[in-house]
Amino acid sequence: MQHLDEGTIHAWLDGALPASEAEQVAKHATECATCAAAVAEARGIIAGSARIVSALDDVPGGVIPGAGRTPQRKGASMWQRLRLTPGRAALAATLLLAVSTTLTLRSSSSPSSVDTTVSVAMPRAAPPAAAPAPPSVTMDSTKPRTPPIVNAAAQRKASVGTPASQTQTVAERRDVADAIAPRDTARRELAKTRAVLQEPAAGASANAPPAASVAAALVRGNVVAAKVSADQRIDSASTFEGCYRLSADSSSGSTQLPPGLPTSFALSRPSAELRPMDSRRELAARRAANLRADSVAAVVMNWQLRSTTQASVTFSASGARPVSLLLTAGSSQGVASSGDLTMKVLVSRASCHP
Amino acid sequence: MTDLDRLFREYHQPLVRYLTRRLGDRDWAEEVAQETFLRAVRQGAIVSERSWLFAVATNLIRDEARRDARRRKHLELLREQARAEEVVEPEPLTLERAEEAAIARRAIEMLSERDREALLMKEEGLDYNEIAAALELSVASVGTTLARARRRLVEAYESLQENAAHKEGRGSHAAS
Repeated sequence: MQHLDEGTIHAWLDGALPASEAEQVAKHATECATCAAAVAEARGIIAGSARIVSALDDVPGGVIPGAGRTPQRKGASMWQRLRLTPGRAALAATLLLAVSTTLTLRSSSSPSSVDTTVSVAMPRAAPPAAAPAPPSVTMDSTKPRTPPIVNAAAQRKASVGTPASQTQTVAERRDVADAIAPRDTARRELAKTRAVLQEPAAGASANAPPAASVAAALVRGNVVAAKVSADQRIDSASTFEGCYRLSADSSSGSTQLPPGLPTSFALSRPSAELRPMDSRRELAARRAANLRADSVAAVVMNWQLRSTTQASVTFSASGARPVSLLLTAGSSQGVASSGDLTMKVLVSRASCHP
Repeated sequence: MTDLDRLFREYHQPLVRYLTRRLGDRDWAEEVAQETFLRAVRQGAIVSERSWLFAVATNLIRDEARRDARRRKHLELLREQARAEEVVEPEPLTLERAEEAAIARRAIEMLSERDREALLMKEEGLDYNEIAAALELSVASVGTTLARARRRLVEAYESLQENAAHKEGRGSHAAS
């Protein structure tokens, strides 16, 4: 019998040969030293490749499908669990709009209903001296939030139905809106935070507010509750989406970035939660996923929120140790760490379009 | 229990794992798996369920990859996935495991498409007949395909590891 070829050896070790052929191969492998060595080598290769393949399961972000894990889908978004299709969502939105329009028209004919029908959280800023006292001044985050569409009606009533509103400044009206619709405020504050983050590098260091003030701004809109909701996590994650540029922080005594850190990178979060809401946003995120890292071919291995204002990004470059970078919303300084080394680096937002 | 329930219970887990390993992107893997099961329902009677599901999933990946070649080049972006109802952060990877996973992914991407798919299907427990059916190969050639895929994967992995160690050594030497 000729020496066994590699394919036959693997098929034999995989138990894929017919019984008669397997018997011949086994017999030959015991008699032929060359083939016995080849079989031993093949066993090692099979074991090694299985181990390498299993290393592919080390992906962040939830459950690796496997034994002992919960069967619940990790990637299932609220939309998916609610079985909301775009068509159903559109229908629901239409119905909601119709109901709210009816409510608005009815309530606008009875101004006194402002006090009784809507639980309104009024502005934090003091109203103008000439203005009458607001109907109620509460900042009770434990109360259920009024649906945004009702808030909009209340906002219109607040601004149109009272004489004082005619003298309100734009800022004051904004404050009223903020207080009435804390949910919308949250999104607005996050948009502001994003705007701060998106300032160019030169401006970022000079103009970016300290992280504490950004955090305070986030808290102001009741964004940071005792328990961070899924929506807030999505918003917070979205805060960090985009493209970044890194440079050495000379104030920390370094003129070079730590090895393994790219000079630019992109963070995207094209997760299931975003898809049903805005496909254009998803596309943007997908485009951002096309990493424009520099020549060290660094790869963003993983990034995750540490809090609503901090994100941790792990890079892995060929030949370099993985490096973690801690980003803080509103801060132009990041902290890179690899092993025992820790170094501050300058972080700035960059355009995602080459 | 409907056919879909049974198919899902029986094959969802291995299919998603196969796709995750293949794509390096769990959300994408879940999407492809869902589409595969939907097609299975529309298909009706299927003779060899496992090979059919893996073949359809593999073809879906190829179709999508053809439509968007750019996305295929950047499969390594691994993202944080917020749990919808929990605030518990997923356990972060250790740097060593992250490094190992990165090298493993680069090594697997160095294989030819057919070798990679055959290997990943074998690791999911598909037998030679099922792999042959899914990839439209002859059963006799599966052993050769797997042998080549495994050898090349191990060689690529070891080579990447050596390069990494070499660069790391050079970096620490330069630093000292």
